[in-house]
Amino acid sequence: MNSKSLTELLPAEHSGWKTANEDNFYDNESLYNYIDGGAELYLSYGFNKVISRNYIKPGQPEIRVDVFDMIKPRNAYGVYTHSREKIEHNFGQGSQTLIGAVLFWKDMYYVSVISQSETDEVTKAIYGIARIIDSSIPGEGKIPGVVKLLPEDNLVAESVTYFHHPVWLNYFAWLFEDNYLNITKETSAVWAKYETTRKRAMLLLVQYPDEHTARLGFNSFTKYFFPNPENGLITKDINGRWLSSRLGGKLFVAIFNAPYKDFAIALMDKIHNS
Amino acid sequence: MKHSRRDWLKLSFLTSLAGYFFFQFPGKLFAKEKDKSEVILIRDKEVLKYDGNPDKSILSDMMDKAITTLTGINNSSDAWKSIIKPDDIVGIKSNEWSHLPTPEALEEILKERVLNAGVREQNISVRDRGILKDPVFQKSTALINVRPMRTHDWSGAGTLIKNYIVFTKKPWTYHPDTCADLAKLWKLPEVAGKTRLNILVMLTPLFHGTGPHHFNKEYIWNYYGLLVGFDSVAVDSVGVRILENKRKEYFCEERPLNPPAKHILLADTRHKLGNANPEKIKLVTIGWKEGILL
Repeated sequence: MNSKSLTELLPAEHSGWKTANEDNFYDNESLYNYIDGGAELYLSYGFNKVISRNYIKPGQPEIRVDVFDMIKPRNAYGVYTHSREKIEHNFGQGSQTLIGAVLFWKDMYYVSVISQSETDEVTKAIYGIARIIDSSIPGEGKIPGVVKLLPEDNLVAESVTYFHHPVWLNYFAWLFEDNYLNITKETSAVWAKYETTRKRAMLLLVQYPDEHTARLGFNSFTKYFFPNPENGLITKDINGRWLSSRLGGKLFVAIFNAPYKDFAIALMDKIHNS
Repeated sequence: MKHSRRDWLKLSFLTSLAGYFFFQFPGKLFAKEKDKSEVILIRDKEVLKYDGNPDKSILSDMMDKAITTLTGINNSSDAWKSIIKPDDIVGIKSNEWSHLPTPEALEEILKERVLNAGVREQNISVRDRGILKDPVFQKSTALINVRPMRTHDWSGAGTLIKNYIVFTKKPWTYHPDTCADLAKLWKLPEVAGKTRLNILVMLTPLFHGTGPHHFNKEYIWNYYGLLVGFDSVAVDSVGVRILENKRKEYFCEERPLNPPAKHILLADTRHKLGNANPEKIKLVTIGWKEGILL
């Protein structure tokens, strides 16, 4: 998408809020200058360009709108799931509203409408601008297939985090010292938490492009996490929680932090029977 | 590996410089020389005004109590003089992140203390970006490192260790493996051996981030504190423990930073910059204790 098309997604004005200055555009090279420290997150998912526009109205705090062209829906969905704390569907294909902020994804776009201060008028304007952008994006994107493989029973929905960059192997905890699972742009991976009677269990699914690559990732993982695989691919970690792993065709599954052995096995079976 | 005469001369010069600094300042400055790194946590519930900005006089008092406790010198003025000399050229490395900058009042207090230690005004600069072109930072003999604590999308946490990222012209070269080797910054010639004091601002830390600007008021809280120490790794280590405990309290479950702020641990284990292990940190707490999260 070119800059002009991104511009067309935003309203020129809304309820007395007018564009403060010229739009700014940032790409792979210049995103660091805009969101210093935050650029890597977007680059890790794949990103083309962002338009940034400020809206002003006398006597009101400024509103800042960013619309990220994430190239593919899966990238926009991934960024949306990152740091998501609640499930809402008020905007786009999934949204999150916070104090003075609306964040949502739709098709290949990730949208942020925020203000540093919140007044009733700002909140109305933020919602109004978000609604216009939502309507301006005509299509919808597919949620990655690997996400649909997650068993629904006891799933903590807001914990579902999609990724295809090795950094996010450590999303829930510092478990991986290296990219043992050979996560690349060709893989599709998802983390999710499950309610248990004690602490939540963590499930990792990785869908590889072919069985050979999946086997390589699985072997690398088991070498590190199961140094004695002859004892089976289920074991207790140093905290007394259960860790389990399985490979089925192109799909790799690992469960961490399960409270009981049976819980880990049952969750694993649900995936392979689905 | 063979060393040329030039290498030996360079080594000899650096050794003499190191010796100079070693004898000029308290041994406490060299965290690894001691078994434990001392970190001062000072909190005052009255430090934040109704508008959320700090009360300068209370903040000033907090800073004085912290420095006297840290140095073991009763008088604040003398305490500062033990770490800053009149002929020093002092860069106060601040942080200007728009959502949560180093409070201006604290920058002013630090400058006042350095002036009081006898340093001429033209030899002091308070700055974040652009320090490589700043004449004071270019010639600096001493650095004071001050920034607020916050979570960070890529490095896990915005820390004192990370605050020196602007000392490199190529910050992206420190990004691999979620900024694992940020401690290398501290070996740059512009930085090495110069840091006299580290202050991690814990007045209103950010414990979680979301959205492209990684900031929302929902995820800051009034902690009313400052963490102060000579060992940046130890100070960061305590700061991150507080963040992690706040996340646990807020989210009602273990919620480690994501990605993990591994650069703090690796600053200790890989780069030997300081102590990250809590067992190697002597934490001294002063002031308000409620909600201390430690």
